[in-house]
Amino acid sequence: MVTGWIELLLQGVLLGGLYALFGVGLSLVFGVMRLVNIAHGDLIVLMAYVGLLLTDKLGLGPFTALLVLIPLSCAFGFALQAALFERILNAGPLAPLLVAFGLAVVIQNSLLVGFGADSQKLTAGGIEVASLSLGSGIDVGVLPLLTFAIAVITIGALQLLVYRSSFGRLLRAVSDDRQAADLLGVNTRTIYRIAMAISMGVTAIAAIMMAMRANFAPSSGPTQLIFAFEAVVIGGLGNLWGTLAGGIILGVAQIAGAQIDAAWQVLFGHLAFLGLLAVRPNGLLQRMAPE
Amino acid sequence: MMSASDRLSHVLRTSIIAVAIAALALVVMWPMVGSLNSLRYLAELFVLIGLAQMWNLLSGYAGMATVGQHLFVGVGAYSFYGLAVLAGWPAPLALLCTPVLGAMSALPAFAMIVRLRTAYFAIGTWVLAESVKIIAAKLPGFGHGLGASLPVPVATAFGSSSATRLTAIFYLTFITATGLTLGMAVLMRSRIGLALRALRDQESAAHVFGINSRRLRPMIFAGVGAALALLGALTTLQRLRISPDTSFSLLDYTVNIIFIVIIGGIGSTAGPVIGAVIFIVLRESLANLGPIYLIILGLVAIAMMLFEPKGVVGLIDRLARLSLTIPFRRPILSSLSNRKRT
Repeated sequence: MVTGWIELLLQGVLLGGLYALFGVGLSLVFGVMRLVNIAHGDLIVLMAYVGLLLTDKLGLGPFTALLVLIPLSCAFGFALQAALFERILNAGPLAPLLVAFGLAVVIQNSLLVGFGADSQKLTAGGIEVASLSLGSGIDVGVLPLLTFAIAVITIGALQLLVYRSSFGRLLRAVSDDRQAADLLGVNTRTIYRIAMAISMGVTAIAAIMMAMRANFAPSSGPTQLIFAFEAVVIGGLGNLWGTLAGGIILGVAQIAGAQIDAAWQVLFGHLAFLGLLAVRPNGLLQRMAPE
Repeated sequence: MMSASDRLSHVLRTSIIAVAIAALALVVMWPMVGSLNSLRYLAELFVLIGLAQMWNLLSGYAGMATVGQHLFVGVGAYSFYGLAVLAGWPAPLALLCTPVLGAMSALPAFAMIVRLRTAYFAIGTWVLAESVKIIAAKLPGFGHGLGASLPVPVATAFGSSSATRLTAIFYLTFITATGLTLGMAVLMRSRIGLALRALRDQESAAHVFGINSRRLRPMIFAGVGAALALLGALTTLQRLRISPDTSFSLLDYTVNIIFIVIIGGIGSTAGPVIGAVIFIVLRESLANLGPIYLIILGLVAIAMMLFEPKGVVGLIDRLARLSLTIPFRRPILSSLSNRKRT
């Protein structure tokens, strides 16, 4: 009985790793350029489909495909920023939201035209069903464990990049005050493009991990966006480790809900989010102060 | 003495009002001459206009963009079903009570997400809508995930033949849409409208001038919740059934509505009307394209935001000024709605 509960708790925590991966891309773009990319979920699904093409048509394994997908996705993010978002960022808070919204609908329906409405899954040669025994009868899935480890590594790397590197100093300067950074000779436009590229690189990782774990379809994007958003807000805006904590809370709440009724899984996540919002409106952890 | 340009803009304005009145008269007489199918389409158009006015009020004027408008539409549909079918109230009474329930559900919803700003507020409304949709599928008596049809006595409460029923729905939706549109025009000329625009444009400055956003925003939000619930009940009368997926449809009541307002013209009273007409015409002519239709709509909306953020209303203003080559002091269409702005 107790081992059963511990197993469920672990499942929830590990699922949180995936949601944290969804969230950090969203969080990074918001932190740097105050853009809430409402198309984030659809971009995750888009990259999952590109990953599917790479494995199906080129016969690559999922992790080799990921190595190809990351640079592709980064380039796409860079281009997206240059062609679309940077034209609209100065037009007030509503315009970027609506442009991203239009993009989301375009991506969703393009995928529907290209791939049909059927749900797909990335086969990973057995690791998706493999499990590991932790002793005392507690088993965890290899894939969730791997996803969680990748999430921790990704967030750690981003944390180092943002708070320890000279590029990170530029990022934080642009985030604090774009005009001042401009005046000091920082090419803020390029910084924005690179930030979007990095966000899309993380999105590629999230996409492959999601695609191996569960079925996805052209219409899955909005759900992924909501999970990403919940992880970010629960953890506290602008705090990368907070997003991991937010993802874990969301994952545990969902697994708890799923025990009562499959349909409650998503609802419990929403309720945890709304409940925490009422108690701690600024999220669990504060925005990290620049060091 | 009127200047030439003044006289011209006066003539234009008068003619626009005259055309609007003629169109209204035609619409009022329409059920006597039009086909049943045309009644159906027009009723649908009126509902879209109402939905678009409400999204425009929140996003374009009050600075509270939402992506969860389908929440209140669904609440309206389900409360109509609950009152008219489960509680057995007379259908007209149930219809009249749905706005009350809409407003009552809007206030706690607002309290839950009020601390989120702009885009996060928008996604917060979405999470609420999705949560309530899941709960609606679990409610006893409402047919769970599949939904339920209106029983015959309720379905025929507004007319036993399809001709009288459609005519009644036509007038109900027409009165609602006209009421909401005129209400918007009046509201925007009032002190409340001025206060809302001030809050949207520069919140801290508005506070300095004594505008109380803590009272104003929940009031507007509750009003919108009430109107959306009524529109949801009217949609239920048209479709004769409720279900979690159709009554709380993200696509029908939020996505399409946002496109309507962006294309028509955000932040103007005429925009939602023009946008809704364009939407229906586009949909009927491109219906066989399926998902490609939504791709086109999305691309048009993105292009609008990039090149003409004021939508077709802005475009008309620009063309009118170009073709007449006489400088107007104010844009024509927006002057109809914002004449007291200065």
